This record gives sequence, C-alpha cells and structure tokens, in this order.
Amino acid sequence: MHSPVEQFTIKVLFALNLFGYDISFTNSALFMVLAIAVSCGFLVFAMRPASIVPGRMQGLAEMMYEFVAEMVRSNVGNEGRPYFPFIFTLFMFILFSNLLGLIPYSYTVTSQIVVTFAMALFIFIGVTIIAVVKHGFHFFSFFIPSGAPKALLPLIFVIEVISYFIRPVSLSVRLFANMLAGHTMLKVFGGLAVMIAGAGGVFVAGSILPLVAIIGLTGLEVLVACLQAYVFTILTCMYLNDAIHLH
Amino acid sequence: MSAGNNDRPEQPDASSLSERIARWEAKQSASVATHSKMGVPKNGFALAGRVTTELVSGLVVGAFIGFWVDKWLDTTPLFLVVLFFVGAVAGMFNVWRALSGKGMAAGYFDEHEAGKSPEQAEQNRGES
Repeated sequence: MHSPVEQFTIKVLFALNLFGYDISFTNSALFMVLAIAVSCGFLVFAMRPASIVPGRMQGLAEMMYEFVAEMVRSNVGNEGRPYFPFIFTLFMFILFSNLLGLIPYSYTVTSQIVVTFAMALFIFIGVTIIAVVKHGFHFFSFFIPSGAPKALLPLIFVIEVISYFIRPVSLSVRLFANMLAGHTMLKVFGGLAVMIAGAGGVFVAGSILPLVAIIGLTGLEVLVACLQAYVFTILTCMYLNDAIHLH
Repeated sequence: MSAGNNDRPEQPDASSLSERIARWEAKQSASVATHSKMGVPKNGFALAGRVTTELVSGLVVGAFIGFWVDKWLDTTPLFLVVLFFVGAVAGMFNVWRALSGKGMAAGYFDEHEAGKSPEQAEQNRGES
C-alpha cells in the first residue's frame, strides 16, 4: 500500500555536484523544466498562425495574455507595464506547474514549500527594492499609519513591520498548502478505493463511491490549480502596486 | 422592425468616435485605486482559507523573528513570547484590513477612507 504522501518525495534522477553543493537533477527540477518547456511550446505553437481572426489555440493564448495584461493594468496601472513580462512568466509557470502536477504519475512542483517560498521571497525582496529605489527613505513611512496616537507608534511600527514580513510567508503557504492538501486528498481517496475493493465480496461494489469522489475532486483540483495561479499573481500585482504608489 | 430600416446599430459619426477614443485613453491612463478589494475572494470557503493562512503566518513570522532576536541578544525566551503575540496581532490586523476593503496588502492605508464605512469607500472607488 502506498502512502498518500509518497508522491511528494524528491528522487535524484542524476547526481550533480558543483563546488561541494549538491545540485542534482531531481524529479522536481525535471517538472520545473517541463513546465517552462510546455508553457513556451504552447505559446509558440498557438501563436504560429498569427491570424487576425484567431483559431481556438490562438484564442486561448491571447486570452491568457490579455487576462494577465488586464490584471496588471487594473491593479498596478500604467506604471506596472515594465513588470508585465515578469508577471506573465510567473503566472504561466505556476499555472503549468499546477496543471502538469494533476497528470497521474507526474510531480507537483508547487507542492513543495521551498519552491513557493523561493518565488515569494524573490518577489518580496524585488518589490522592497523597487519601493526603496522609487521612494528612498520615504518608504519607511509605509510602516507608520497616519493619525495613530504618538504613544502607540513604537508598538504599531513593530506590528506593521511584522505584517509586512507576513507577506512572503502567507503568499507561499497559500499556494503550497492548497496543492499539498488537494493532492494528498486525491491519493487518500484512491487508496480507499483500493482498500475497499481488496476486502472482496459485496464490498467491491462499494469502491465505486471513492472513485466517484475522485472524479469530483479532480475537477475541483483543476479549479484550484487555476485559481491559485491567479491568486499568487494578483497578490504579486497588489504588492507591486503598494511599492509603486506609496503615499 | 419595418422593412427598409437598417437592422444594424447606428454607425457612430467621427466626432463620437474620437470622443470614445478619448474616453478609452482616459480610462487607460487613469491611476488605479491604491487598494482594491479584488484580492479578497467572494466565495466563503476561499475566504476562510485566505484568513487562516494570514492568521497562521502572523504567528509563524512573529515567533521566527523572536527566536532569532533571542539568539542574537541571548534573552531566550523574552522576544519569542512577545513577538509571538505581536505576530498574532499583526495577523489579525491583516485580516481586518483585508475584510474592511483595504486590500490584502499590509502597511499604509488611506486615512480618508479609514473613517468611512467600507460601503462608502467602495462607492468612492467605483466613482474614481
């Protein structure tokens, strides 16, 4: 019987060592490369006809592009345009990692906190640098709400700083926890179906129930995969907006 | 629909077209509201998930910073305990900020909007 969390183990595909650091190519790395290759391949293939009246695939690719472009425009405004390529790449990478992970026997990159936290930390540091470069020391007024009583300022400053540092954690935990919980649940129901069927006799018919549940859950997981990619991207936009439009 | 009447919508003349282009351009260049409610899900289940992560990460970040400050100043467990609670406050603060329409973002918020009810603030944003 397989453990429901066995799907998350990292397997070394071929070992690499660079200056004493272990940089082995793992199944996680493989699926990151696949996510990049499939998303790039999809966009290049879909845009090949480049016709004025788009076909189905071209329409899909254009919808994704416009979806992210509209998200950046309505959340960051025109100043957000230089950051559009980064945000679009981020969206496509997370979306394809999530969707590829739903294919049986594949590996979900975003179910690892290291991966999501690395992305969130990169965004957090980048956004902070943008804010400091754009606003200089004025950036620190971000932590002092106007109209707060003078006596409370030290306490409020500490609270605001911590709530600023919460950002990368909640951003990464949200994506990671959703993917981890969803995939574990799929495996638990799968294991349940096998166990009930293994009991033999009349119980075999009962294994239909978890199978039906898996169908429903898979549909839900597709929704979660798209939704979490969207949530991660829109929160990045909002953090970027805060950095650019500081008061 | 009488015969001979053109079925298609009226062709806009040049002046209304340039007017529409101007309106579109104004919309494009318009500065966005600093904090939107877009990051807050309407679905109750998704909202619960959002609020939970915010609360839990508050505790985690507070305790983590406290732990390292204690290691640095050798004051275990003073800052761990204090910052654990401050982190909890920060997490709740973030949830309040999210639900009262100031966006999920931490930090500064507009003083003028803080005095109003969320509905009023929402209306204000809709107009601008």
